Amino acid sequence: MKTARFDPKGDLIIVEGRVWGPGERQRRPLRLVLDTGAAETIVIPEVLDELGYNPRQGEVITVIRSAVGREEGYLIRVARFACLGHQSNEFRVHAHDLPEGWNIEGLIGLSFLRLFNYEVRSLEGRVLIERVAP
Amino acid sequence: MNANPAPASSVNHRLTWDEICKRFPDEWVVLVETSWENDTDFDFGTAVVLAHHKQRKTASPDVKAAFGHYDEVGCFWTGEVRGPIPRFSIP
Repeated sequence: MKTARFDPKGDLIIVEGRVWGPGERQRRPLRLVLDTGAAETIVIPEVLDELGYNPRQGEVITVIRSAVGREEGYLIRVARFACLGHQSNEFRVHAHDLPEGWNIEGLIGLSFLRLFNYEVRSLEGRVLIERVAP
Repeated sequence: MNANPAPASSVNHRLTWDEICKRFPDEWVVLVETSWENDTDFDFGTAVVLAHHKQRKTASPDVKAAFGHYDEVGCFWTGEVRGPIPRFSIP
């Protein structure tokens, strides 16, 4: 069982993550919003570009429709992705811009969270995470 | 040996996160040599600030340049995180 801490007074549950570049030598620490309402795990394209990923390596072009319009992104597998004390190799993330004013680099969605059992203890500012054997 | 010059460091000594936030309020800071306390939280002892920017996109060239010299480079917002627009609102 791992424990990740967050600010219980914050408006959002912000957790630490890491994504590795191709070859797994270089990595980027990230601050991500834990979002159980998001199907995919989203990372802004700048992070992937900085690590040496290319949109041409993407598997699928995607579209997100929102109140402000229609924006394209892509799905891409990163060599390694870690968050909440656990990691996954060849993990698929959704590369997509987030509005500049949000000031975050991504969201942890169910594509990662469903690998675990987890418990959000809001008053304590802790997430308890347990990996379930496949 | 990497031919790229190191990015110009805005602050050439180590700072805590609180010190970084006070010195660069509401900015994106490019951090290297971060002494993480564990692999689950954002907590770290000190780090070196290589650059600071008002916009995330303008920090990217400094992050890329830093990867010529460091295996780990972070870019973090020092201000309040506003986050996603609420899915529901009450008029």
